[in-house]
Amino acid sequence: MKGILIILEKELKDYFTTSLFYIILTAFSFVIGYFFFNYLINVKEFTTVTVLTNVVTPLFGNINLLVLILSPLLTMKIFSQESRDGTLDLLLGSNLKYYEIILGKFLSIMTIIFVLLTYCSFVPITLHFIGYDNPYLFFTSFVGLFFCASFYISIGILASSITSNQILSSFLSYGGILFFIFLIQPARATSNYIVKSALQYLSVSYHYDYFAKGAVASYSLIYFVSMIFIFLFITSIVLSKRKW
Amino acid sequence: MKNNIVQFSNVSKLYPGVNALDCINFNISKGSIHGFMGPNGAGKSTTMKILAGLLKESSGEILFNSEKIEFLKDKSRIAYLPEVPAFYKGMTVDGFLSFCYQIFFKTKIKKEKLKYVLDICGLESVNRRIINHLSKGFKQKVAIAQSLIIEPELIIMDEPTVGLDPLAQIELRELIINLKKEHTIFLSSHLLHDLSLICDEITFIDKGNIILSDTLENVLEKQSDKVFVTFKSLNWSNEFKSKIQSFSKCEIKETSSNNYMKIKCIFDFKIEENKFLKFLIDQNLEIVEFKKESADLEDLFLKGNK
Repeated sequence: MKGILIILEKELKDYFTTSLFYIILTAFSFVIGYFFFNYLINVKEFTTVTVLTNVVTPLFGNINLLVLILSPLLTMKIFSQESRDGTLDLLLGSNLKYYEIILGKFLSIMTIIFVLLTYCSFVPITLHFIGYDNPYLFFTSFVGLFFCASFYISIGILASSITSNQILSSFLSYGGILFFIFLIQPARATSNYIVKSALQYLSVSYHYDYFAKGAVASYSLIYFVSMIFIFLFITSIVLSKRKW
Repeated sequence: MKNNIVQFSNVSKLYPGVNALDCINFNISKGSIHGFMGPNGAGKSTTMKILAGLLKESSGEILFNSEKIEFLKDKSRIAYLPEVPAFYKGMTVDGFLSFCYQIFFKTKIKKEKLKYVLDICGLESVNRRIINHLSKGFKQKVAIAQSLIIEPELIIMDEPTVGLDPLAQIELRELIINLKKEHTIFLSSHLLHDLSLICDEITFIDKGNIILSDTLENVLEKQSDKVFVTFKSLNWSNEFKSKIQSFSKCEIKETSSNNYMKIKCIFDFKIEENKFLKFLIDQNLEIVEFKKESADLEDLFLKGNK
Protein backbone atom coordinates (compact mmCIF):
# COMPACT_ATOMS: atom_id res chain seq x y z
CA MET A 1 0.00 0.00 0.00
CA LYS A 2 2.83 2.40 0.88
CA GLY A 3 4.41 1.70 -2.49
CA ILE A 4 1.19 2.74 -4.26
CA LEU A 5 1.14 6.01 -2.32
CA ILE A 6 4.81 6.72 -3.14
CA ILE A 7 4.15 6.35 -6.88
CA LEU A 8 0.83 8.22 -6.63
CA GLU A 9 2.49 11.16 -4.86
CA LYS A 10 5.33 11.30 -7.38
CA GLU A 11 3.00 11.14 -10.39
CA LEU A 12 0.64 13.78 -9.02
CA LYS A 13 3.58 16.09 -8.31
CA ASP A 14 4.63 15.57 -11.93
CA TYR A 15 1.16 16.43 -13.23
CA PHE A 16 0.46 19.40 -11.02
CA THR A 17 3.86 20.99 -11.56
CA THR A 18 3.74 20.85 -15.35
CA SER A 19 1.69 22.98 -17.70
CA LEU A 20 0.07 19.98 -19.46
CA PHE A 21 -2.51 19.46 -16.71
CA TYR A 22 -3.54 23.11 -16.67
CA ILE A 23 -3.79 23.23 -20.46
CA ILE A 24 -6.01 20.13 -20.40
CA LEU A 25 -8.15 21.56 -17.57
CA THR A 26 -8.59 24.85 -19.42
CA ALA A 27 -9.48 23.19 -22.71
CA PHE A 28 -11.84 20.76 -20.96
CA SER A 29 -13.60 23.59 -19.07
CA PHE A 30 -13.97 25.65 -22.22
CA VAL A 31 -15.42 22.79 -24.31
CA ILE A 32 -17.84 21.61 -21.61
CA GLY A 33 -18.96 25.18 -20.91
CA TYR A 34 -19.48 25.78 -24.62
CA PHE A 35 -21.59 22.65 -25.09
CA PHE A 36 -23.63 23.31 -21.94
CA PHE A 37 -24.37 26.89 -22.94
CA ASN A 38 -25.43 25.87 -26.46
CA TYR A 39 -27.63 23.01 -25.32
CA LEU A 40 -29.24 25.26 -22.75
CA ILE A 41 -30.10 28.17 -25.07
CA ASN A 42 -31.57 25.74 -27.60
CA VAL A 43 -34.16 24.45 -25.12
CA LYS A 44 -37.39 26.26 -25.87
CA GLU A 45 -39.42 24.97 -22.95
CA PHE A 46 -37.89 23.97 -19.62
CA THR A 47 -39.56 20.76 -18.49
CA THR A 48 -38.03 17.71 -16.84
CA VAL A 49 -38.20 15.78 -20.10
CA THR A 50 -36.80 18.48 -22.40
CA VAL A 51 -33.90 19.29 -20.08
CA LEU A 52 -33.08 15.60 -19.77
CA THR A 53 -33.25 14.82 -23.49
CA ASN A 54 -31.86 18.10 -24.86
CA VAL A 55 -29.26 19.03 -22.23
CA VAL A 56 -28.25 16.36 -19.72
CA THR A 57 -28.06 13.26 -21.92
CA PRO A 58 -26.16 14.86 -24.85
CA LEU A 59 -23.91 16.81 -22.50
CA PHE A 60 -22.83 13.73 -20.56
CA GLY A 61 -22.37 11.94 -23.90
CA ASN A 62 -19.99 14.72 -24.91
CA ILE A 63 -18.16 14.59 -21.59
CA ASN A 64 -17.70 10.86 -22.15
CA LEU A 65 -16.31 11.59 -25.62
CA LEU A 66 -13.89 14.16 -24.18
CA VAL A 67 -12.75 11.72 -21.52
CA LEU A 68 -12.22 9.18 -24.30
CA ILE A 69 -10.06 11.66 -26.21
CA LEU A 70 -8.10 12.75 -23.14
CA SER A 71 -7.43 9.34 -21.58
CA PRO A 72 -4.87 8.11 -24.15
CA LEU A 73 -3.18 11.52 -24.03
CA LEU A 74 -2.82 11.20 -20.27
CA THR A 75 -1.69 7.57 -20.33
CA MET A 76 0.56 7.56 -23.40
CA LYS A 77 3.66 8.57 -21.46
CA ILE A 78 2.98 6.69 -18.27
CA PHE A 79 5.27 3.74 -19.06
CA SER A 80 6.49 4.69 -22.56
CA GLN A 81 8.48 7.65 -21.32
CA GLU A 82 9.84 5.75 -18.33
CA SER A 83 10.94 3.00 -20.69
CA ARG A 84 12.57 5.49 -23.08
CA ASP A 85 14.32 7.40 -20.27
CA GLY A 86 15.48 4.21 -18.53
CA THR A 87 13.69 5.09 -15.29
CA LEU A 88 11.43 2.08 -15.65
CA ASP A 89 14.41 -0.13 -14.81
CA LEU A 90 14.89 1.97 -11.68
CA LEU A 91 11.30 1.27 -10.63
CA LEU A 92 11.30 -2.39 -11.63
CA GLY A 93 14.69 -2.90 -9.93
CA SER A 94 13.40 -1.43 -6.67
CA ASN A 95 11.56 -3.10 -3.81
CA LEU A 96 8.21 -1.98 -5.22
CA LYS A 97 5.89 -4.72 -6.46
CA TYR A 98 4.60 -4.50 -10.02
CA TYR A 99 1.05 -4.02 -8.81
CA GLU A 100 2.14 -1.09 -6.62
CA ILE A 101 3.75 0.67 -9.59
CA ILE A 102 0.78 0.02 -11.87
CA LEU A 103 -1.90 0.94 -9.33
CA GLY A 104 0.04 4.06 -8.26
CA LYS A 105 0.10 5.26 -11.84
CA PHE A 106 -3.51 4.23 -12.50
CA LEU A 107 -4.75 6.09 -9.43
CA SER A 108 -2.76 9.19 -10.32
CA ILE A 109 -4.55 9.50 -13.68
CA MET A 110 -7.86 8.67 -12.04
CA THR A 111 -7.21 11.57 -9.67
CA ILE A 112 -6.73 13.87 -12.66
CA ILE A 113 -9.95 12.57 -14.21
CA PHE A 114 -11.71 13.03 -10.88
CA VAL A 115 -10.59 16.67 -10.79
CA LEU A 116 -11.90 17.18 -14.34
CA LEU A 117 -15.23 15.51 -13.56
CA THR A 118 -15.55 17.47 -10.32
CA TYR A 119 -15.30 20.60 -12.41
CA CYS A 120 -18.41 19.38 -14.32
CA SER A 121 -20.43 19.61 -11.10
CA PHE A 122 -21.31 23.14 -12.21
CA VAL A 123 -23.84 21.49 -14.57
CA PRO A 124 -26.25 20.12 -11.91
CA ILE A 125 -25.70 23.23 -9.77
CA THR A 126 -26.68 25.55 -12.65
CA LEU A 127 -29.65 23.37 -13.57
CA HIS A 128 -30.74 23.39 -9.93
CA PHE A 129 -31.04 27.18 -10.10
CA ILE A 130 -33.28 26.98 -13.16
CA GLY A 131 -35.50 24.47 -11.42
CA TYR A 132 -34.23 21.11 -12.71
CA ASP A 133 -33.30 18.64 -9.95
CA ASN A 134 -32.44 15.01 -10.53
CA PRO A 135 -29.56 14.23 -8.17
CA TYR A 136 -29.79 10.45 -8.60
CA LEU A 137 -29.43 10.72 -12.39
CA PHE A 138 -26.47 13.06 -12.06
CA PHE A 139 -24.87 10.74 -9.53
CA THR A 140 -25.21 7.65 -11.74
CA SER A 141 -24.05 9.58 -14.80
CA PHE A 142 -20.91 10.72 -12.96
CA VAL A 143 -20.31 7.20 -11.66
CA GLY A 144 -20.73 5.87 -15.22
CA LEU A 145 -18.28 8.44 -16.55
CA PHE A 146 -15.82 7.57 -13.82
CA PHE A 147 -16.01 3.86 -14.63
CA CYS A 148 -15.70 4.55 -18.36
CA ALA A 149 -12.63 6.72 -17.70
CA SER A 150 -11.11 3.97 -15.54
CA PHE A 151 -11.73 1.51 -18.35
CA TYR A 152 -10.12 3.78 -20.98
CA ILE A 153 -7.18 4.47 -18.70
CA SER A 154 -6.55 0.79 -18.00
CA ILE A 155 -6.38 0.21 -21.78
CA GLY A 156 -4.07 3.23 -22.11
CA ILE A 157 -1.76 1.96 -19.38
CA LEU A 158 -1.51 -1.42 -21.08
CA ALA A 159 -0.74 0.26 -24.43
CA SER A 160 1.91 2.42 -22.79
CA SER A 161 3.62 -0.63 -21.28
CA ILE A 162 3.83 -2.31 -24.70
CA THR A 163 5.84 0.35 -26.50
CA SER A 164 8.32 3.08 -25.67
CA ASN A 165 6.88 5.22 -28.47
CA GLN A 166 4.29 7.59 -27.03
CA ILE A 167 2.52 8.23 -30.32
CA LEU A 168 2.18 4.53 -31.00
CA SER A 169 0.99 4.04 -27.44
CA SER A 170 -1.81 6.61 -27.91
CA PHE A 171 -2.87 5.02 -31.21
CA LEU A 172 -3.01 1.61 -29.57
CA SER A 173 -5.13 3.11 -26.78
CA TYR A 174 -7.56 4.73 -29.19
CA GLY A 175 -7.77 1.50 -31.16
CA GLY A 176 -8.50 -0.54 -28.04
CA ILE A 177 -11.08 1.89 -26.67
CA LEU A 178 -12.93 2.27 -29.98
CA PHE A 179 -12.95 -1.50 -30.40
CA PHE A 180 -14.83 -1.90 -27.11
CA ILE A 181 -17.17 0.99 -27.93
CA PHE A 182 -18.08 -0.21 -31.41
CA LEU A 183 -18.69 -3.79 -30.35
CA ILE A 184 -22.26 -2.61 -29.88
CA GLN A 185 -22.68 -2.29 -33.68
CA PRO A 186 -22.25 -5.98 -34.58
CA ALA A 187 -24.30 -6.78 -31.47
CA ARG A 188 -27.21 -4.79 -32.95
CA ALA A 189 -26.75 -6.34 -36.37
CA THR A 190 -26.71 -10.00 -35.38
CA SER A 191 -29.83 -12.06 -34.83
CA ASN A 192 -28.02 -14.78 -32.91
CA TYR A 193 -29.07 -14.25 -29.30
CA ILE A 194 -25.93 -15.68 -27.68
CA VAL A 195 -23.53 -13.72 -29.91
CA LYS A 196 -25.66 -10.58 -29.46
CA SER A 197 -25.64 -10.94 -25.67
CA ALA A 198 -21.90 -11.63 -25.57
CA LEU A 199 -21.01 -8.66 -27.79
CA GLN A 200 -23.39 -6.39 -25.89
CA TYR A 201 -21.88 -7.39 -22.60
CA LEU A 202 -18.35 -6.74 -23.90
CA SER A 203 -19.27 -3.32 -25.29
CA VAL A 204 -18.51 -0.43 -22.95
CA SER A 205 -21.23 1.81 -24.48
CA TYR A 206 -23.91 -0.75 -23.58
CA HIS A 207 -22.98 -0.49 -19.90
CA TYR A 208 -22.52 3.28 -19.92
CA ASP A 209 -26.03 3.74 -21.35
CA TYR A 210 -27.49 2.22 -18.19
CA PHE A 211 -25.61 4.64 -15.97
CA ALA A 212 -26.67 7.58 -18.19
CA LYS A 213 -30.30 6.56 -17.76
CA GLY A 214 -29.99 6.48 -13.99
CA ALA A 215 -29.80 2.71 -13.68
CA VAL A 216 -26.89 0.94 -11.99
CA ALA A 217 -26.79 -2.73 -12.87
CA SER A 218 -24.61 -5.02 -10.80
CA TYR A 219 -23.39 -6.79 -13.95
CA SER A 220 -22.19 -3.43 -15.33
CA LEU A 221 -20.18 -2.86 -12.17
CA ILE A 222 -18.76 -6.36 -12.48
CA TYR A 223 -17.96 -5.67 -16.15
CA PHE A 224 -16.01 -2.48 -15.41
CA VAL A 225 -14.15 -3.84 -12.39
CA SER A 226 -13.20 -7.08 -14.12
CA MET A 227 -12.12 -5.41 -17.39
CA ILE A 228 -9.99 -2.88 -15.50
CA PHE A 229 -8.46 -5.71 -13.48
CA ILE A 230 -7.76 -7.74 -16.66
CA PHE A 231 -6.02 -4.86 -18.46
CA LEU A 232 -3.92 -3.93 -15.43
CA PHE A 233 -3.05 -7.57 -14.86
CA ILE A 234 -1.91 -7.92 -18.50
CA THR A 235 0.17 -4.77 -17.95
CA SER A 236 1.98 -6.46 -15.07
CA ILE A 237 2.66 -9.48 -17.32
CA VAL A 238 4.03 -7.20 -20.06
CA LEU A 239 6.32 -5.49 -17.55
CA SER A 240 7.57 -8.79 -16.16
CA LYS A 241 8.30 -10.01 -19.71
CA ARG A 242 10.86 -7.22 -20.05
CA LYS A 243 13.22 -9.49 -18.13
CA TRP A 244 13.06 -12.16 -20.79
CA MET B 1 39.26 -19.78 0.10
CA LYS B 2 38.26 -16.28 -0.91
CA ASN B 3 35.01 -14.84 0.37
CA ASN B 4 32.93 -14.40 -2.78
CA ILE B 5 29.95 -12.07 -2.80
CA VAL B 6 28.85 -13.15 -6.30
CA GLN B 7 29.27 -16.49 -8.04
CA PHE B 8 28.26 -17.02 -11.66
CA SER B 9 27.85 -20.73 -12.47
CA ASN B 10 27.27 -21.77 -16.08
CA VAL B 11 25.15 -18.72 -16.79
CA SER B 12 23.82 -18.42 -20.34
CA LYS B 13 21.59 -15.85 -21.94
CA LEU B 14 19.93 -16.45 -25.25
CA TYR B 15 18.30 -13.69 -27.24
CA PRO B 16 16.44 -14.73 -30.37
CA GLY B 17 19.19 -15.84 -32.73
CA VAL B 18 22.01 -14.64 -30.49
CA ASN B 19 23.85 -16.39 -27.71
CA ALA B 20 24.77 -13.35 -25.63
CA LEU B 21 26.32 -15.34 -22.77
CA ASP B 22 27.63 -18.86 -23.14
CA CYS B 23 27.94 -20.74 -19.83
CA ILE B 24 29.98 -18.10 -18.05
CA ASN B 25 31.66 -18.80 -14.71
CA PHE B 26 33.40 -16.28 -12.51
CA ASN B 27 33.36 -14.92 -8.98
CA ILE B 28 33.50 -11.47 -7.42
CA SER B 29 35.31 -11.22 -4.09
CA LYS B 30 33.71 -9.36 -1.23
CA GLY B 31 35.11 -5.86 -0.74
CA SER B 32 36.93 -5.81 -4.06
CA ILE B 33 36.76 -3.57 -7.09
CA HIS B 34 36.14 -6.04 -9.89
CA GLY B 35 36.82 -4.77 -13.40
CA PHE B 36 34.82 -6.21 -16.27
CA MET B 37 36.33 -5.67 -19.68
CA GLY B 38 35.70 -6.75 -23.20
CA PRO B 39 34.94 -5.33 -26.63
CA ASN B 40 31.58 -3.86 -27.57
CA GLY B 41 28.89 -6.52 -27.79
CA ALA B 42 30.90 -8.98 -25.70
CA GLY B 43 28.11 -9.44 -23.16
CA LYS B 44 29.17 -7.04 -20.39
CA SER B 45 25.92 -5.11 -20.08
CA THR B 46 23.86 -8.30 -20.33
CA THR B 47 25.87 -9.86 -17.48
CA MET B 48 25.44 -6.74 -15.38
CA LYS B 49 21.71 -6.52 -16.04
CA ILE B 50 21.25 -10.17 -15.09
CA LEU B 51 23.14 -9.55 -11.85
CA ALA B 52 21.00 -6.46 -11.20
CA GLY B 53 17.85 -8.55 -11.69
CA LEU B 54 16.74 -6.59 -14.76
CA LEU B 55 17.17 -9.57 -17.09
CA LYS B 56 16.54 -13.24 -16.51
CA GLU B 57 19.27 -15.71 -17.37
CA SER B 58 18.31 -18.49 -19.80
CA SER B 59 20.16 -21.09 -17.75
CA GLY B 60 22.70 -21.36 -14.95
CA GLU B 61 22.81 -20.00 -11.45
CA ILE B 62 23.94 -16.79 -9.81
CA LEU B 63 24.59 -16.74 -6.10
CA PHE B 64 24.71 -13.54 -4.11
CA ASN B 65 26.21 -14.23 -0.69
CA SER B 66 25.37 -17.92 -1.29
CA GLU B 67 21.72 -17.01 -1.93
CA LYS B 68 20.11 -17.51 -5.34
CA ILE B 69 19.72 -14.10 -6.92
CA GLU B 70 16.11 -14.67 -8.03
CA PHE B 71 15.12 -15.29 -4.42
CA LEU B 72 16.73 -12.09 -3.20
CA LYS B 73 13.86 -10.27 -1.52
CA ASP B 74 15.63 -7.05 -0.59
CA LYS B 75 16.73 -5.51 -3.87
CA SER B 76 18.51 -2.70 -2.06
CA ARG B 77 21.45 -5.05 -1.51
CA ILE B 78 22.48 -4.55 -5.14
CA ALA B 79 22.63 -1.16 -6.85
CA TYR B 80 22.92 -0.80 -10.60
CA LEU B 81 24.19 2.21 -12.52
CA PRO B 82 23.41 1.85 -16.21
CA GLU B 83 25.70 3.21 -18.90
CA VAL B 84 23.31 6.11 -19.41
CA PRO B 85 22.11 7.01 -15.91
CA ALA B 86 18.33 7.14 -15.62
CA PHE B 87 16.84 10.13 -13.87
CA TYR B 88 13.53 11.89 -13.55
CA LYS B 89 15.03 14.92 -15.17
CA GLY B 90 12.52 17.39 -13.82
CA MET B 91 13.30 16.46 -10.21
CA THR B 92 15.78 18.23 -7.99
CA VAL B 93 18.83 16.27 -6.83
CA ASP B 94 17.59 15.85 -3.26
CA GLY B 95 14.03 15.12 -4.45
CA PHE B 96 15.31 12.38 -6.73
CA LEU B 97 17.52 10.82 -4.04
CA SER B 98 14.64 10.90 -1.55
CA PHE B 99 12.38 9.20 -4.10
CA CYS B 100 15.03 6.52 -4.78
CA TYR B 101 15.27 5.85 -1.05
CA GLN B 102 11.47 5.63 -0.76
CA ILE B 103 11.03 3.07 -3.53
CA PHE B 104 13.44 0.74 -1.75
CA PHE B 105 12.52 1.27 1.89
CA LYS B 106 8.97 2.68 1.58
CA THR B 107 9.73 5.30 4.17
CA LYS B 108 10.99 8.88 4.02
CA ILE B 109 14.73 9.42 4.16
CA LYS B 110 16.29 11.07 7.20
CA LYS B 111 17.83 14.46 6.51
CA GLU B 112 21.18 13.42 8.04
CA LYS B 113 21.38 10.41 5.76
CA LEU B 114 20.63 12.51 2.68
CA LYS B 115 23.19 15.10 3.74
CA TYR B 116 25.79 12.38 4.30
CA VAL B 117 25.37 10.96 0.79
CA LEU B 118 25.32 14.41 -0.81
CA ASP B 119 28.51 15.17 1.08
CA ILE B 120 30.33 11.98 0.00
CA CYS B 121 29.44 12.55 -3.64
CA GLY B 122 30.22 16.28 -3.61
CA LEU B 123 26.66 17.28 -4.43
CA GLU B 124 25.90 19.71 -1.56
CA SER B 125 26.28 22.72 -3.81
CA VAL B 126 23.72 21.45 -6.35
CA ASN B 127 21.24 19.59 -4.13
CA ARG B 128 18.37 21.98 -4.91
CA ARG B 129 19.01 22.11 -8.63
CA ILE B 130 17.00 20.34 -11.32
CA ILE B 131 18.93 17.27 -12.51
CA ASN B 132 18.44 18.12 -16.17
CA HIS B 133 20.30 21.40 -15.65
CA LEU B 134 23.42 19.71 -14.27
CA SER B 135 26.66 18.96 -16.12
CA LYS B 136 27.41 15.40 -17.18
CA GLY B 137 29.96 15.01 -14.37
CA PHE B 138 27.41 16.05 -11.75
CA LYS B 139 24.78 13.79 -13.30
CA GLN B 140 27.18 10.86 -12.94
CA LYS B 141 27.69 11.81 -9.30
CA VAL B 142 23.93 11.89 -8.81
CA ALA B 143 23.79 8.39 -10.29
CA ILE B 144 26.40 7.20 -7.78
CA ALA B 145 24.59 9.00 -4.95
CA GLN B 146 21.42 7.21 -6.07
CA SER B 147 23.15 3.88 -5.57
CA LEU B 148 24.74 4.86 -2.26
CA ILE B 149 21.52 6.12 -0.75
CA ILE B 150 20.23 2.54 -0.45
CA GLU B 151 23.46 1.29 1.18
CA PRO B 152 23.98 -1.66 -1.14
CA GLU B 153 26.51 -4.41 -0.57
CA LEU B 154 27.30 -4.52 -4.28
CA ILE B 155 27.39 -1.61 -6.71
CA ILE B 156 27.31 -2.44 -10.41
CA MET B 157 28.62 0.32 -12.67
CA ASP B 158 28.32 0.03 -16.43
CA GLU B 159 30.85 2.37 -18.06
CA PRO B 160 30.67 5.04 -15.35
CA THR B 161 33.31 7.28 -16.91
CA VAL B 162 31.85 7.48 -20.42
CA GLY B 163 31.70 11.04 -21.72
CA LEU B 164 33.36 12.64 -18.69
CA ASP B 165 36.19 15.15 -19.00
CA PRO B 166 39.59 14.13 -17.51
CA LEU B 167 39.04 16.05 -14.28
CA ALA B 168 35.63 14.47 -13.73
CA GLN B 169 37.15 11.07 -14.51
CA ILE B 170 39.81 11.53 -11.84
CA GLU B 171 37.20 12.68 -9.31
CA LEU B 172 35.01 9.71 -10.12
CA ARG B 173 37.97 7.34 -9.84
CA GLU B 174 38.76 8.68 -6.37
CA LEU B 175 35.12 8.38 -5.38
CA ILE B 176 35.04 4.73 -6.51
CA ILE B 177 38.21 3.95 -4.56
CA ASN B 178 36.63 5.51 -1.45
CA LEU B 179 33.48 3.42 -1.93
CA LYS B 180 35.55 0.25 -1.76
CA LYS B 181 35.79 0.64 2.01
CA GLU B 182 32.14 -0.21 2.48
CA HIS B 183 30.96 -1.74 -0.79
CA THR B 184 31.96 -4.25 -3.40
CA ILE B 185 32.21 -2.63 -6.83
CA PHE B 186 31.68 -4.41 -10.11
CA LEU B 187 32.42 -2.06 -12.98
CA SER B 188 32.97 -2.17 -16.69
CA SER B 189 35.01 0.38 -18.57
CA HIS B 190 36.84 0.83 -21.81
CA LEU B 191 39.34 3.04 -19.99
CA LEU B 192 41.79 0.24 -19.32
CA HIS B 193 44.29 2.50 -17.63
CA ASP B 194 41.61 3.48 -15.12
CA LEU B 195 40.75 -0.16 -14.51
CA SER B 196 44.40 -1.00 -13.90
CA LEU B 197 44.63 1.83 -11.36
CA ILE B 198 41.60 0.95 -9.27
CA CYS B 199 40.75 -2.74 -9.76
CA ASP B 200 41.73 -5.64 -7.56
CA GLU B 201 40.27 -8.24 -9.91
CA ILE B 202 39.70 -8.41 -13.63
CA THR B 203 37.37 -10.47 -15.76
CA PHE B 204 37.71 -10.43 -19.52
CA ILE B 205 34.70 -11.41 -21.60
CA ASP B 206 34.48 -11.81 -25.36
CA LYS B 207 31.61 -13.07 -27.52
CA GLY B 208 29.75 -14.23 -24.42
CA ASN B 209 32.65 -16.30 -23.07
CA ILE B 210 34.84 -15.55 -20.09
CA ILE B 211 38.41 -15.47 -21.39
CA LEU B 212 40.01 -15.00 -17.98
CA SER B 213 39.11 -13.96 -14.47
CA ASP B 214 41.67 -13.43 -11.73
CA THR B 215 43.32 -10.83 -9.56
CA LEU B 216 44.88 -7.97 -11.50
CA GLU B 217 48.39 -9.03 -10.50
CA ASN B 218 47.88 -12.62 -11.61
CA VAL B 219 46.22 -11.55 -14.83
CA LEU B 220 49.12 -9.34 -15.83
CA GLU B 221 51.75 -11.83 -14.74
CA LYS B 222 50.21 -14.96 -16.23
CA GLN B 223 48.92 -13.47 -19.40
CA SER B 224 51.92 -11.38 -20.26
CA ASP B 225 54.08 -13.43 -22.60
CA LYS B 226 55.58 -10.32 -24.15
CA VAL B 227 58.23 -8.00 -22.81
CA PHE B 228 58.51 -4.40 -23.93
CA VAL B 229 61.83 -2.57 -23.77
CA THR B 230 61.83 1.09 -24.65
CA PHE B 231 64.88 3.31 -25.02
CA LYS B 232 65.80 6.66 -26.48
CA SER B 233 68.90 6.88 -28.63
CA LEU B 234 70.80 9.87 -30.01
CA ASN B 235 72.61 7.97 -32.78
CA TRP B 236 70.09 5.41 -33.97
CA SER B 237 70.46 3.92 -37.45
CA ASN B 238 69.27 0.88 -39.38
CA GLU B 239 72.60 -0.78 -38.67
CA PHE B 240 71.69 -0.98 -34.98
CA LYS B 241 68.33 -2.40 -35.91
CA SER B 242 69.84 -5.41 -37.65
CA LYS B 243 72.38 -5.84 -34.83
CA ILE B 244 69.58 -5.99 -32.26
CA GLN B 245 67.67 -8.51 -34.32
CA SER B 246 70.72 -10.69 -34.67
CA PHE B 247 71.15 -10.52 -30.86
CA SER B 248 67.59 -11.50 -30.16
CA LYS B 249 64.56 -11.79 -32.38
CA CYS B 250 62.11 -9.01 -31.65
CA GLU B 251 59.73 -6.55 -33.22
CA ILE B 252 61.14 -3.02 -33.36
CA LYS B 253 59.03 0.12 -33.56
CA GLU B 254 60.70 3.49 -34.13
CA THR B 255 59.37 6.94 -33.36
CA SER B 256 61.44 9.96 -34.26
CA SER B 257 61.67 13.07 -32.14
CA ASN B 258 63.70 16.30 -32.43
CA ASN B 259 66.96 15.09 -30.95
CA TYR B 260 66.51 11.39 -30.52
CA MET B 261 64.74 8.27 -31.72
CA LYS B 262 62.38 6.42 -29.43
CA ILE B 263 62.73 2.67 -29.97
CA LYS B 264 60.31 0.07 -28.68
CA CYS B 265 61.47 -3.56 -28.81
CA ILE B 266 58.77 -6.18 -28.33
CA PHE B 267 60.04 -9.62 -27.31
CA ASP B 268 57.83 -12.70 -27.41
CA PHE B 269 59.73 -14.18 -24.45
CA LYS B 270 61.28 -13.07 -21.19
CA ILE B 271 64.65 -11.39 -21.51
CA GLU B 272 67.18 -10.14 -19.00
CA GLU B 273 67.13 -6.41 -19.48
CA ASN B 274 70.57 -5.82 -17.98
CA LYS B 275 72.17 -8.11 -20.57
CA PHE B 276 70.23 -6.39 -23.32
CA LEU B 277 71.29 -2.96 -22.05
CA LYS B 278 74.92 -4.07 -21.90
CA PHE B 279 74.65 -5.32 -25.48
CA LEU B 280 73.30 -1.97 -26.65
CA ILE B 281 76.07 -0.04 -24.90
CA ASP B 282 78.68 -2.41 -26.36
CA GLN B 283 77.38 -1.47 -29.80
CA ASN B 284 78.24 2.18 -29.03
CA LEU B 285 74.60 3.17 -29.03
CA GLU B 286 74.10 6.46 -27.20
CA ILE B 287 71.21 5.81 -24.87
CA VAL B 288 69.55 8.55 -22.84
CA GLU B 289 66.69 6.51 -21.39
CA PHE B 290 66.05 2.80 -21.00
CA LYS B 291 63.09 1.02 -19.42
CA LYS B 292 61.45 -2.36 -19.37
CA GLU B 293 57.67 -2.50 -19.29
CA SER B 294 55.42 -5.43 -18.70
CA ALA B 295 52.16 -5.92 -20.50
CA ASP B 296 49.25 -3.81 -19.35
CA LEU B 297 45.51 -4.23 -19.69
CA GLU B 298 45.60 -2.61 -23.08
CA ASP B 299 47.89 -5.33 -24.41
CA LEU B 300 45.67 -7.90 -22.79
CA PHE B 301 42.61 -6.36 -24.38
CA LEU B 302 44.25 -6.33 -27.82
CA LYS B 303 45.48 -9.88 -27.36
CA GLY B 304 42.01 -10.99 -26.31
CA ASN B 305 40.49 -9.35 -29.37
CA LYS B 306 42.94 -11.13 -31.67
